[in-house]
Amino acid sequence: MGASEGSDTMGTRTDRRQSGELESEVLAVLWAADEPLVAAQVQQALGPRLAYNTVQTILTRLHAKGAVSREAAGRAHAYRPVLDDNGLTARQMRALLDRGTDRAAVLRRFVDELAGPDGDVLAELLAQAHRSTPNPPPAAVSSAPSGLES
Amino acid sequence: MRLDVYVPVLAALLMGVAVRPLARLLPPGIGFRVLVAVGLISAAGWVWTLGLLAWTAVGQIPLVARYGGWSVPVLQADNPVAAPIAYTAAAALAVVTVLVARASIRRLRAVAHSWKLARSLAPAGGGELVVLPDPTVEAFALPSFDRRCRGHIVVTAGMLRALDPAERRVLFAHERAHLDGAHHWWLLAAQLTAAANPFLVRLPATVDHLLERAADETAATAVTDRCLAARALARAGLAALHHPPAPARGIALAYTGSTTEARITALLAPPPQSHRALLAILVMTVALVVVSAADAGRDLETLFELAMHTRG
Repeated sequence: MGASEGSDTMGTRTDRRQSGELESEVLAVLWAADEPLVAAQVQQALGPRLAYNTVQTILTRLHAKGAVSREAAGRAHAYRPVLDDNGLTARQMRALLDRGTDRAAVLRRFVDELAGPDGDVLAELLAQAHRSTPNPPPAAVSSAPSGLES
Repeated sequence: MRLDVYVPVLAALLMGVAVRPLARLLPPGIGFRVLVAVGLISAAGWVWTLGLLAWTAVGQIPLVARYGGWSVPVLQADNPVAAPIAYTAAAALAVVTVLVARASIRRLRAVAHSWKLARSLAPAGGGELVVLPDPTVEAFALPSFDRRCRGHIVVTAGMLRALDPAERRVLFAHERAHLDGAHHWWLLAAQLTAAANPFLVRLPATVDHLLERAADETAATAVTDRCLAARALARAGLAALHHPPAPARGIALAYTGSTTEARITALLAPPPQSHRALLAILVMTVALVVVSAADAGRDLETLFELAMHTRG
């Protein structure tokens, strides 16, 4: 009895963790988009890994948490990300980054020092990574960075 | 005592030289643990040796000898350590103490700062992802010092837009690897170790690089595609060139191999293999150092006991 209870809590912990990770992915899609998205669009962006219902559930949960806002879009809801605390967090983070806190405590940056200042090496490596991938990702998403520059 | 007291010093010196070759030879996930552990032991052995050497001089101070109840002449007669060496060791020990104290205060202050920040984030939405609405391209892991939450992944909107959904999964997996592995504590340990043992000056930067590599490898495993992981890193790097992040590094960790390009190249190569023989050699070296240090300590104890008995 005790053992089965133990495995149950382990199970819910894994589930909770997994759903937390999915929430991050869905939220990221909304942040990367220029306009509010309906569930179908979010699911399309994420690919066939997630069922429509799963995406819908995650969006509802994010809305309940106040991480996204929604508006009517035809018969569905369109979702957009919400700045929590009127951007207070963002300001604090920005201050942290600009202040230059010790790396050990916080800053483990994804992309750090770059060797070539012009990015030639990076571009070549990116091309190599594409060559060695069997099926490259859909082209729709690779146009995303150019949208940022506008 | 005559010779084995110097074994930890020699080991500390060798370790300083071996830091980078070891980092190259070991797979990153094992490498940073081994380097920090061995570095810590070698630093402890080095401080222990300094203490033993210094004590042979301190024990000869009349006031100390009277308090301890041993004979200074006997001690002088049998002392295997030359006075200049003992005085140098005492001075070095004083310097090391100051360095470690200073480093500890500085690091702990930084930890406290990020702890405060992580705590202020905890109630907001409860999610792991924190998005900064600005066009710069940045992402980092902010560890939480709270049992309920591992920490947060802080990303700019610019970074999210630069990557496609699959690449974002690499990014998230990379940052989660930092949080799950408590990588900040490992780097902190490396920094304090380097403060205690000046020979290990390269340790923090090397460990730092290995932590990034380890997180890259974990992310590549999580998405089951090394090329995808390499692509995410290259894409983020290119985007970061167009929207450079603010220069925000408290300490510059210069490690020429730690560039993003080197990490991408490593991901495009086959996964790193472990070297059992190398690990065995390391374990034996560590055992030798520990035995020598203990033996030297026992010898010194015997010397002082002799000085106590002869006195009476």
